[in-house]
Amino acid sequence: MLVLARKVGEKLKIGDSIEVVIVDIKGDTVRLGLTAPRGVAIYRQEIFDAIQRENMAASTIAPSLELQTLPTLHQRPTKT
Amino acid sequence: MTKRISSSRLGELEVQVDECITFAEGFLGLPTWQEAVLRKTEVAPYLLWLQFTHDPEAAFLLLDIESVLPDYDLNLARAASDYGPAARVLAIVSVPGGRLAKATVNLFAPLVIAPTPAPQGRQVVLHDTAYPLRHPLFTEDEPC
Repeated sequence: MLVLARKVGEKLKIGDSIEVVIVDIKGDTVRLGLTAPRGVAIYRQEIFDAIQRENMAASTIAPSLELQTLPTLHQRPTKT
Repeated sequence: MTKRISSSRLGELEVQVDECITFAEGFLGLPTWQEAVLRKTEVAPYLLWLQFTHDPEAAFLLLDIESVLPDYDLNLARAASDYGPAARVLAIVSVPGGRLAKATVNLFAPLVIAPTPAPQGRQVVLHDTAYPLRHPLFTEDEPC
């Protein structure tokens, strides 16, 4: 792994189309600004992993839905 | 123009080539899932099958979010997708152990599908929102 030291406001370039800027450092938190072309998706690692896991779980659904009774919908607000 | 595909859930399907939805980026964990058709389910009007064309086993159960969760911000998902206001927003349903009563929907990373010019879609991530990855679709107090 390449390890580079950077100061706030300094940038990194990955290839010729991806740019990373160090926006702010507070305690143990670094805020990064990222610029990438459309089609290059950027995820926090744990979110990438969680969505991948959820997609894989949803992809192995049992085919016998038709035989099941439909429970009552849960329609409370989705936002917290 | 039509083509025939098979589905382990729906049997043999005749599909119009111009109804096939392209997911150019595939899905996280499932990069080869790139072309699919939408079909009704027999269980409920708000649940749909997204059957992929490359493999009879490859399908997602989807929730038409709008018809069940009216407070969900569809435009946030559309904005994240770069598709216009005509795009549909659907959520992938997980059915743990095949038990529909336990189904959850992924409201954090919904699918957005644009009808034109050719149907195309992508899974978007609603970064920095409180939408859950596993929203229970049904109430839990039902005897199931």
